[in-house]
Amino acid sequence: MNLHSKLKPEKSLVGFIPAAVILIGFFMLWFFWGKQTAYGFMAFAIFAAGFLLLITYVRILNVGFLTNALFLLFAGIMLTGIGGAPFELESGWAGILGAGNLFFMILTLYLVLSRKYKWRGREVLELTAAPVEGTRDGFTARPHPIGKAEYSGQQLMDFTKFLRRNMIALPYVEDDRVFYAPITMAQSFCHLYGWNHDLSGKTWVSFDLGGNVAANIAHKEYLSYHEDLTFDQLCDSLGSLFIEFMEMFKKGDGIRIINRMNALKENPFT
Amino acid sequence: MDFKTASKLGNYISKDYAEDLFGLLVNYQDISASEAASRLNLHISTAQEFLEAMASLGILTRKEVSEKKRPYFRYSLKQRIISMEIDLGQIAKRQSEMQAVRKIREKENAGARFSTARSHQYLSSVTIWTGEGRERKERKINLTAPQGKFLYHLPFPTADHLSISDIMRKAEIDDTVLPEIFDIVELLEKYDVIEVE
Repeated sequence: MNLHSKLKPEKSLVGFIPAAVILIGFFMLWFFWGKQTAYGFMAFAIFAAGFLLLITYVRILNVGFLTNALFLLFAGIMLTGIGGAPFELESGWAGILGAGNLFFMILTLYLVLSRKYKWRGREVLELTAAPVEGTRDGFTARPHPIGKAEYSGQQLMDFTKFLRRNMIALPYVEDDRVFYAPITMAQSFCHLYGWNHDLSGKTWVSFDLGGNVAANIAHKEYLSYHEDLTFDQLCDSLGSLFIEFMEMFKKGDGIRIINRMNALKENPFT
Repeated sequence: MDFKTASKLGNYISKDYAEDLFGLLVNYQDISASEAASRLNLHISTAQEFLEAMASLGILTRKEVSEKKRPYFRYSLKQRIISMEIDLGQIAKRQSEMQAVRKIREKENAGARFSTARSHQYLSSVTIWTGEGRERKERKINLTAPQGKFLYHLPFPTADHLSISDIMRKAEIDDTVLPEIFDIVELLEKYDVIEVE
């Protein structure tokens, strides 16, 4: 844990809502319709979550989504074999599935704990706040033009893939610019599976094909800091941070970006 | 003709009875307010007000007469053609170098809501709330593209003030749109959204 953090501790339980809903549904079905229906529901829900993660893997290309998806898919198949469930599994198959399930669970857990499978929204906000000394507030809900950066169209696309694969920010690619939204696990559900992709009122940094960089900090994220940090400095810092990331990436020092984030030792489950 | 005079003339000319009154004035050598009112079945004060207004605009001449009773005015047409020519240049925003060097920024806790255009490259509107409690009203100002670009580059409340010309340079806005920039700055200054150093 970062003892000098300028961010308030993450207390959102949004990330646990899907698991809680499945569990509540499971126990309610068991109570009203019996064990077989409850296990059937559980297996279906876990399968659905597994497929969703598989689709997310295709989009993000972070291996954590793949191992998590396989863990859930194996778990879903195993659940169908539990006594009383619609499909009984032979003991040989149950052993193979059990071993696969355990393997992917351990692998996913390793990826989470080593922060390879973690949205880096909190790290980005922490690094943004680091050079900001003033506490003059001044929040305003409009984007801040940062300045110019040098990159080619191909470099921008490669940088986009790098940020996405390493879950540093979720990119929204438009015809002439790319928006990078640094998100946390709690926010990822709305960003990945929500239907409203309007970035107004959200935190983002944009790079256009002309080299112009702009940044926007949402009020919610601004309130996640302990102090009322001077807003224009904060926006400048967010934009400059991504320009710095771009420079490091161009030099082939992408790993240094990851190291800087890991050094903050943020909770891997945020 | 200045805008206020034109506005006064336009107001009277648009009255239902204006054509009939001018009809009397063009056909009679001169006429009093009571004669015109009785002829057109108007209230005397209505006719009096109209004739006085036309006299004050220089379209009629009035002559005071007294025929063994208290004096009154008789009005006659001074000109048969009324032309309205307004120089809109008079109401154009005065562009001065003094205004362009004024340093401004967004005011702290201005309470305005800025909406960005779909492309997020400029602002599309500013919403301002005025009044308190039940009297609270929302006013949305849709911005032209140059105004939106200008406000997009307006310094934040905690940033240093910048001159209007510097902001225009940053926003890559042409000087030809200076009057509309002055106009929005003036308006937002009035509503305490922009502060001047």
